[in-house]
Amino acid sequence: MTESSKSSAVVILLAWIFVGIPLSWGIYNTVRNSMKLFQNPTPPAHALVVRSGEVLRS
Amino acid sequence: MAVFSFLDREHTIARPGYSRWLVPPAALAIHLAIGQVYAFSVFKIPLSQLVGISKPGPGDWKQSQIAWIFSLAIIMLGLSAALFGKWLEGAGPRRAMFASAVCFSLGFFISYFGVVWHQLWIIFLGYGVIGGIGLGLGYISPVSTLIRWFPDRPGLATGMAIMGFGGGAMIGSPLAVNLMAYFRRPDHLGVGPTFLVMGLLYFVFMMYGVFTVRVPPADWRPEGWMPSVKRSAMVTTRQMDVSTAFKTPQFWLLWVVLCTNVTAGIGIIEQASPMIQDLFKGSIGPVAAGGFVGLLSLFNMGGRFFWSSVSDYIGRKATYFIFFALGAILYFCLPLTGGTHLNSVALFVATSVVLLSMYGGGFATIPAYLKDMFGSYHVSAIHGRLLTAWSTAGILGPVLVNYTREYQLAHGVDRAGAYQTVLRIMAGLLLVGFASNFVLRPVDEKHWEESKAPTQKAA
Repeated sequence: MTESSKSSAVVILLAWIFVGIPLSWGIYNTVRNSMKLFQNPTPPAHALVVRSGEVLRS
Repeated sequence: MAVFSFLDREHTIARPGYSRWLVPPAALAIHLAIGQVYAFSVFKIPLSQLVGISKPGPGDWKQSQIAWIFSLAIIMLGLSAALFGKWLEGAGPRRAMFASAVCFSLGFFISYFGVVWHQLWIIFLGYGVIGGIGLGLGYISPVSTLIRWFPDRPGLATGMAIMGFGGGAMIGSPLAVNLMAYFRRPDHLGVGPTFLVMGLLYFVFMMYGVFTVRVPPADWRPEGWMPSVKRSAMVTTRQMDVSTAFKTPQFWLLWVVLCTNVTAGIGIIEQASPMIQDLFKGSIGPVAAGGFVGLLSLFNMGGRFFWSSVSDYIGRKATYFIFFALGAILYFCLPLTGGTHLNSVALFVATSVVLLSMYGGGFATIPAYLKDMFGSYHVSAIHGRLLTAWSTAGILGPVLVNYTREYQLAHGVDRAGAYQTVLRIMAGLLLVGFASNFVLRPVDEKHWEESKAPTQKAA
């Protein structure tokens, strides 16, 4: 026996969409969370110190 | 019972023309659901404030007590996978998936009463024990079915399902957070109703997998595909039963391979957030560290699919050689990317994500490695027993990391410096895994003679 293409392509697509939607939602949330690594980085400690004027050289 | 006869293996045999591409979504429906266990930490704070609401009140559970819920679930995952694997091979994937869905959802429903009556032991029993059995059954249920549908690409097939387990946490975490926010009232945090809704949602989602999973007919093979005549000596054409496989040195060498790979991965996962903040003090704060943890989970999931697919082309042994050799080098070099040496956040992040991709890849490639070694006859059951390596690593990893680090700090080593020792221990562990993979040879003839599996050649 061999595989034939009797299963409808639409059914296969719907099956993947059914599991793909929650997975994509999860990935979207995680990517959004991951972006925090690249956004608004905390300035280096020495920069904070220099900006505050408490210590000019560290 | 006749009402459950639709779960029988004979009722799941695919009709001619059934596309094998309908089977991975069925497997994913199970793994995406049970992967929620890795998001259980989102309940830790709410569960510790059920009485006090805004802060822990008198009689509230401690976080150390609550942590046992997750630990119990993972212990039960390993135990049930090992105990019920052989039953699963006879009962078929549909019955196992159904049992998994019932146990996993029941775990949430029972835990609801634990929250309402404020009895922690009910949650231990519900989510920890009964839900944990659902995890083990669900984790191994689609493995041998997928391998039989994809004899030409077993790594890709199992990688797709096990990738789902990594993705499950990504769904479970925001789902729980949003539900708790929706159900929250001034006098309660919404944990109980969240458990009820999640139990119901996951049951429905897993039922999709139960009703759509099919096993291939005995003589089925992909159209146009013929087993390669020039086979590697590391890929058997014979079949071995789980009891015989359990007695072979190959099983235990693969056990070490999985255990070392997982333990090393836990070395990063366990300390990811504090490590990046300590190594780049002043540059990386808690918010950015949270983003780093999210990035790791993405690569953990992606690595499951990527590496298991790659293993179909380069072989399982070569894939694990990459994990262990490259992994050991990267673990050794990781502390050098920190603030006191190269001071490169980008290099640290890049190294870490590659390491986490190989951690995930180790999970996803092992079923295909087992199939290569012992055939597909009892591969789910053998995989189930091998998962005790995961349970062991789940204890060994955090113990190694935390105790080594505490010892270093107690002896005057600075916080950033203490990571160096931990990471080098992880590199050493990977060398043990490398040696184990290196000495792995095809199963000896005497074990094949002992095997009670059918002697026909594997598809």
